[in-house]
Amino acid sequence: MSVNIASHMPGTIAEILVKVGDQVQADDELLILESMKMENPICAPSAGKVKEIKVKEKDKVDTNQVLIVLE
Amino acid sequence: MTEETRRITRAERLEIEKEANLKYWEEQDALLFKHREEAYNIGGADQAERLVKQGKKTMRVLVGMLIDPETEFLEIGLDAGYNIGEKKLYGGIIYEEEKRGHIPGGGVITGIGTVHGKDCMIFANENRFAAGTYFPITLKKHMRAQAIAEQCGIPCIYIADSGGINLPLQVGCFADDGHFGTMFYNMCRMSAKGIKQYTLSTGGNTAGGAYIVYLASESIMIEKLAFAFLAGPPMVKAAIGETVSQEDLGGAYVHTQHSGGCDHFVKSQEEGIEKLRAMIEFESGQKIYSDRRETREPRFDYKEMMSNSPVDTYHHINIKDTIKCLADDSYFHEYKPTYGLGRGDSIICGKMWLKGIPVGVIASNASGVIYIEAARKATEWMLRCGNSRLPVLFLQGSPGYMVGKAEEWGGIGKYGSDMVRACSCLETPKITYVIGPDHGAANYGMCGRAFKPSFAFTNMRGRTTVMSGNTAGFILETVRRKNIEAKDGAVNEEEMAKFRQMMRERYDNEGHPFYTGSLLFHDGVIAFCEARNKLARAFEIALRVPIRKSDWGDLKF
Repeated sequence: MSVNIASHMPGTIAEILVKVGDQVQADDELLILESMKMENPICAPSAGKVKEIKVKEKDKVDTNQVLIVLE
Repeated sequence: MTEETRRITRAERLEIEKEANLKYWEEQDALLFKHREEAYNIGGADQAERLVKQGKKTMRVLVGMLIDPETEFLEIGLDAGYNIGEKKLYGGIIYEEEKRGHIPGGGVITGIGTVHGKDCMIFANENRFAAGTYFPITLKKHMRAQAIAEQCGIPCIYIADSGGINLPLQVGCFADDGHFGTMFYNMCRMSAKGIKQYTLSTGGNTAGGAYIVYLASESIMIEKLAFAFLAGPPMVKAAIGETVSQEDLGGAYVHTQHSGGCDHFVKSQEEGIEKLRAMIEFESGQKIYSDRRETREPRFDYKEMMSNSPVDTYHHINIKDTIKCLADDSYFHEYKPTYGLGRGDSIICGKMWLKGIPVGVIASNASGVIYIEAARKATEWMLRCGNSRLPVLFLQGSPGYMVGKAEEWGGIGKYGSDMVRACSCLETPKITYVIGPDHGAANYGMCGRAFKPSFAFTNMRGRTTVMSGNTAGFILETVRRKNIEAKDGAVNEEEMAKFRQMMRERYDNEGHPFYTGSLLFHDGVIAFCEARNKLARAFEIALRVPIRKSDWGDLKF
């Protein structure tokens, strides 16, 4: 089963902290979204493996845009 | 997966960060304590010696003698005047021209001290710098202290030794509202309201400065040390040809035996301080308008608060880790804790006991970015605190309200304006403590200086500017780029990068607590280890008068 990790606010991808194939735990930081002057960590809602990374650093993203897919 | 490549979890990362945070804030607070030393020791050994020759103690020693033993003096605006000549406000360059560009402490000591168990606002001219004369920043500090005294209904004690307005800087000192005359206006108006004004003159009080003696409810002059006259001997000589000594023109005996301008004659500073204390002993007792209960210590000490405050002002903070170090028993009663998850919790609202005083709390959390849900919740909570006459602590760490089409359509402007209105109309004592980013309209909704909190403090993590350095660099670059392109010019990218960097640094510098403190945009920088005591003390003082009913005006819903 895949889990889509979406942005909850518009902003810019500041840093991607994982790569495809990485095993992550719940609450691990996946990437940093820069928005509203703040560095906002985007965390894994549950444990899983990184299946796909749909953005790259410096990309502009919108609310609800899928950033990472976990499985 | 091998041990080396195992990524650390968020929890592990936070644990490592905590150690770094603690170390960083310990260093920053050490810097703060060092910063204060400069004001404490202004003028150095030379000036201290000069006072000794005149038979005078330093004002700080006199203040120490005036207040009850073992009590703490809550200093207001100690950060004023540092490198004031480099600032672009209140005289700016003119300080530099007069070689008065650095006035640590701002030229007057102001703060709240306890005398015979009663809170008093104490003013003492810093006679180790420029003969205690008033600079624009000195006046701003004096007015701020008088405003607090008037708001809290506490008596004022002036220990006066001042050459009056610093003449080269007169344009910033004399004619306007808030200038020298306002200090006398305030004395008269407070006296009319029953807030007593007491003066101990321990030096020169010339021209307008003499009124600080004459306008007092009761005043004291010291033999051979204190003088008060409309014009000193040289000016009298020039004007009417009369030759007269200082003592015979306006010494203590003149005003206590002949003119009647002063009420008490004493022979030494010590006797003067004793006389002041005797007067305050007759003042009626003060109460606290709060259902205060006994104090309970928090279960976490201030180091926990330091560990949980990220080094970077622009990183997420879990504000509950701060609240638990401030609240009695670390107990926090949260309002709407489950509302609008991820959006409503960028502001945390609730109540706590602070050294036994029940206090409402409105605190920026996580990114601090205010969404519609957070703004609505904060407005509701301000209304509830106002209606139940509960004082409010604002823990401000918000970079602004959320922007963009979705929020605008949803009414972020409207709900933000509700917050601003509620905060303006909230009549209960408000205290603001900036602990993170403090930018844009969030400064308004979270009770910035313009919204007249009883006290406004910051810690070393606070940054107060219209926007962050990063955003300012970006916006100003965009404007500049457009201007160049409109004139068909070519953009020099290297120059542009330099410009962006310069603006960023300028904003970061201007938002620093020492910079904003120098200009008195707040009442003081509070170290982590002092936060609980000083905030509780400030609430105590703010609660010396009954809490008025709040009327909310035309809110939108």
